[in-house]
Amino acid sequence: MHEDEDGKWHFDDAGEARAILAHIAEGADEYAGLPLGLENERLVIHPSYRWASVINGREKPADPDAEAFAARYEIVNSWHHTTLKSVMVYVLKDKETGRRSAALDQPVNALTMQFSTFGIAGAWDYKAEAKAVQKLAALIRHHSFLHYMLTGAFLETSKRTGITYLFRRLRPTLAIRADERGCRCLAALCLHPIGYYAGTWAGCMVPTDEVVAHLLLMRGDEADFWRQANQHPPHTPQAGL
Amino acid sequence: MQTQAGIDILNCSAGHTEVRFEGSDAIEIERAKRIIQDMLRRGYALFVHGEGDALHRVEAFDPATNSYIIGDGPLYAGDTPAEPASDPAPAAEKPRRGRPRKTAVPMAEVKATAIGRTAGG
Repeated sequence: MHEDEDGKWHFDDAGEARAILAHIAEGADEYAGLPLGLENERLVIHPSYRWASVINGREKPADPDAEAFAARYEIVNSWHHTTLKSVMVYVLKDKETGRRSAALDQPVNALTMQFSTFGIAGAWDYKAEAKAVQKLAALIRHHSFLHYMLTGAFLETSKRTGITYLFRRLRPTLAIRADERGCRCLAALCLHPIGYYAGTWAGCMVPTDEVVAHLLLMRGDEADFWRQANQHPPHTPQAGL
Repeated sequence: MQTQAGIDILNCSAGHTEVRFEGSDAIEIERAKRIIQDMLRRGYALFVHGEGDALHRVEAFDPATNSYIIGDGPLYAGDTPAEPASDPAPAAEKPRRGRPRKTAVPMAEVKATAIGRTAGG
């Protein structure tokens, strides 16, 4: 968003870039569209995408600290701290001396992911989101659609496995097992068709299209949904809980 | 609500690309066939929409007959079983064993949705 020298406000800075990409995609008959790269955001694209080598092959900025660390230490093991949710525990081995040591780090922070995801909004077209919402409306019950519009999420139970899924906009889908003992979250299933922006919950597609993708995969091939998705433990920041 | 035959391809610009099979436009049909085969080659998940919430994953595409090959039998809109003759004592259904039988579904008679491979998350 910016104000030009004539005093007019422009609210969609990336609109022109998206229009150009759409025009190029149409000319190249690229049915998957072309994702919009954003400054300081790293796009991760699946290798099956036609232009994956172009996008994934872009030179990453040098990180001298990371290079020095990798030259000196080897990570032997790592796990999430169960009480300090966003903290990772690392067991390190000094390559020169062989000594082992422990370290704590916070590589991922839910608040940072939230803000980073917020910043991706410029990559999407609100008209595409409206189209995706219409498609979702045709796929789910009316009350589920109301839930989604009002809360950003809706529930559906798989007839195949009995697992209840909480489909959420811009967050991983939660797989929940409900029985006489109560409810427990089995995993947060994170899946971005085509590509996503690293360090965020944002994919290349508009948020509701990703919800549609999760829903259709669950209904049509639940085993493959689990196979393809990253299964984040519920207590990790990536789960978005 | 009558659904228009065609395929919706979830993409990263326009929401989803709609490929419709209008009439007998040979160019559009050839384009659709090329796209469908390319998507299957790249590992896309294609689903044919059936009755209600039913979805059937497309396993292959037959370009000779312009048909999706699905593995669940006649459970999609358009393949209504014939009315059985009046029979006071219907025979008990035998449980099906083995792999589900394949069915060819003409692409111009159903609606499908295509989803790309996941890049992670």
